[in-house]
Amino acid sequence: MTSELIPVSQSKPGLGWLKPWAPVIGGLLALVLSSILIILSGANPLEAYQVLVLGAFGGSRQITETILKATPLLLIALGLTIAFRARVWNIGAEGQYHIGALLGSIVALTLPNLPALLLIPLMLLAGIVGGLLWSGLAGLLHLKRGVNLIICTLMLNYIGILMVQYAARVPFRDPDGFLPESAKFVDAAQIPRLFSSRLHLGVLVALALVGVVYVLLWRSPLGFRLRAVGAKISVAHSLGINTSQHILTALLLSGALAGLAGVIEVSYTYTRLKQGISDGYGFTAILVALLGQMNPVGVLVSAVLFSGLVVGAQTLNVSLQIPAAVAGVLQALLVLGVLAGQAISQRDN
Amino acid sequence: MTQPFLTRRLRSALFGCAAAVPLLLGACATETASTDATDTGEASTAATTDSEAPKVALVLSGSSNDQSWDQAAFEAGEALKAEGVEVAMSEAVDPADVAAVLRQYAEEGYDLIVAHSFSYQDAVFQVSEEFPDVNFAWAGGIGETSENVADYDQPFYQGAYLVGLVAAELSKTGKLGALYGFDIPVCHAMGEAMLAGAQEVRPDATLTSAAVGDWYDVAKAKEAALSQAETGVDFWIGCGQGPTLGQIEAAKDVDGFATGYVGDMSSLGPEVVAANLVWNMTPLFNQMLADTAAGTFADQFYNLGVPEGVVQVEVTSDFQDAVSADVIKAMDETKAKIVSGELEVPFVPE
Repeated sequence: MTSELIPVSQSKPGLGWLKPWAPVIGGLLALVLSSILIILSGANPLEAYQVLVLGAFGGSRQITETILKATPLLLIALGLTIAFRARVWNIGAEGQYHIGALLGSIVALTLPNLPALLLIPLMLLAGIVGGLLWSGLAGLLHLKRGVNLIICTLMLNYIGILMVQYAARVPFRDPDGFLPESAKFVDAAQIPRLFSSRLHLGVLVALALVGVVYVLLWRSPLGFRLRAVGAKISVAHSLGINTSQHILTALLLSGALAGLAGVIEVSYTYTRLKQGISDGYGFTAILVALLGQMNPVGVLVSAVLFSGLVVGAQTLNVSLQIPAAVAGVLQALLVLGVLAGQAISQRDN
Repeated sequence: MTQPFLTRRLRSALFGCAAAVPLLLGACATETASTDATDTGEASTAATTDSEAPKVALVLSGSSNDQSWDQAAFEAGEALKAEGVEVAMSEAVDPADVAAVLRQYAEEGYDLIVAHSFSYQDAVFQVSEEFPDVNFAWAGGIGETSENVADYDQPFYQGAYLVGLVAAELSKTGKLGALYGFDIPVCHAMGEAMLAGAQEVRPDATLTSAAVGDWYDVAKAKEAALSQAETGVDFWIGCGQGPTLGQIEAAKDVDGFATGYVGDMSSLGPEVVAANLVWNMTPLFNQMLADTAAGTFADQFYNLGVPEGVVQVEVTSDFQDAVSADVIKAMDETKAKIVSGELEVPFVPE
């Protein structure tokens, strides 16, 4: 009733001022709920949260671990940011990541005698091409055959993952090994470390891409057209923007970054082609992109926090002997709480 | 038109990130407020300096109550605890994450870190190089060791030979089945040894084996077991929890028989689980601790099996009547021969 008297632009009475803080409140609620579980598993919740934070950011090893785990998330989520801004719902990053890893591994395994200076760029290129191919395939099915984009990107995930398993099991299997995995890559195929740390060049690439994606989306004509397609496709169409072409571009760019993440991970972390080369990065990155509000800087922060949550949760298990399942529930509750809060804070705005 | 939209987005992005603040606040709050709470957490780091009690970390790929591989290690860990050893445990650690977990234990001053999965190989050898003063053990069973990495064998094949005697009696077709998580030497030798044991009694016995490609996927294993059943297989041995649970389920469907894998699995299918392979890892862990204390850990390849009482076979209570006294007697005699060294169970790794 009062809203009729008060101009819309003015702040609403009551608890309205809390609205922007809803994500924080959601996060806090999640912590309170998780406390119950932590108490049930015999630990002190405050201590547990301290261990969680220190486990993720409390020292150079912890920070290194968090950054390493954040890197693939950041790369993929930046790509998804481009896609989602154009309202291109690419759910297929996991598959694009795998195909990128596969093509990169094939280069590493078939050209082991190349010097690192040549081998690494070739691998990265192959990874990008792999991601492009896989997302482009989804794009063709969507644009030429009218297949629902969410469904075909989603289904191509499983084909991509299985193709990696097949490659590791049959054509590229290490004849001297016992597990279905390729031989270890040569040292030259490992992406260079930064100084003497365990961080690698891919971390810098991912950080640089934060700026690149920002400029692309908000300071370039292509970015303007992509966002126009995302804002209102019919308007974009009548403005003379080739919408199909831009949907494909958004898909290809996001696929390329997912493929790049895949090849960097096999090159550095796994050092061979095998099953289980992703910790669900392609799926988690969707959450990272959404939590980061599809804004490159927000995505950077949310990738680091998300990764910190995963790394810190491992510490909970190691230091306090809290079951891994409880740590998993804590993670899920936090994400849910913050996302729900974000949804509330954006309502009616 | 787009500008206000953007700033709004940016603003809420920042708020979204602000959700991390309570985490950080919580950390600061506890640091000053609860000294008693931190005591328990810091106890592990303190112990290295002020006591000589060894600290052991167990890293499991499955859950500690799986009635199998991981529970065997967990129970041995509990036994060490009872002896005053400090034991920490991580369960359900994915091979993709294990390097981080190993590093953490190494940094917290654990003396011996047991990486209880074949699939942890890469991570163990990588992290062990970063921490040359910490001892690591991994469940390879292939003799892959280093200065500070020991490999512990799982000579289940010795027990599988005894299971073969039971299989020879219970199987109607004489066709035996083996299901492996992966076709690694430890697993492969189990199937072959069961066949050798069965052929002592029934020379016409045959073996069909398959590798599922996963240690935990029960559904996939059941499919594989059922397709083995179509060729006449009615008695199974499994290597890995998933393959074993799958064969137990398949045995229920086709009225066959199954073997419990390194733990008492009779409760999962009392009507089909005829025998259990049991793995008592306590002597193994004690040996590792003794070598750690004595400084003789380097390049150890532990091989403790039936002769040492580490691998045991028991006919389940529901099958005490179904398995004839002759077979029980033959099992005891054969076991005695293995213990005395008179019989060497053939080891067929591939």
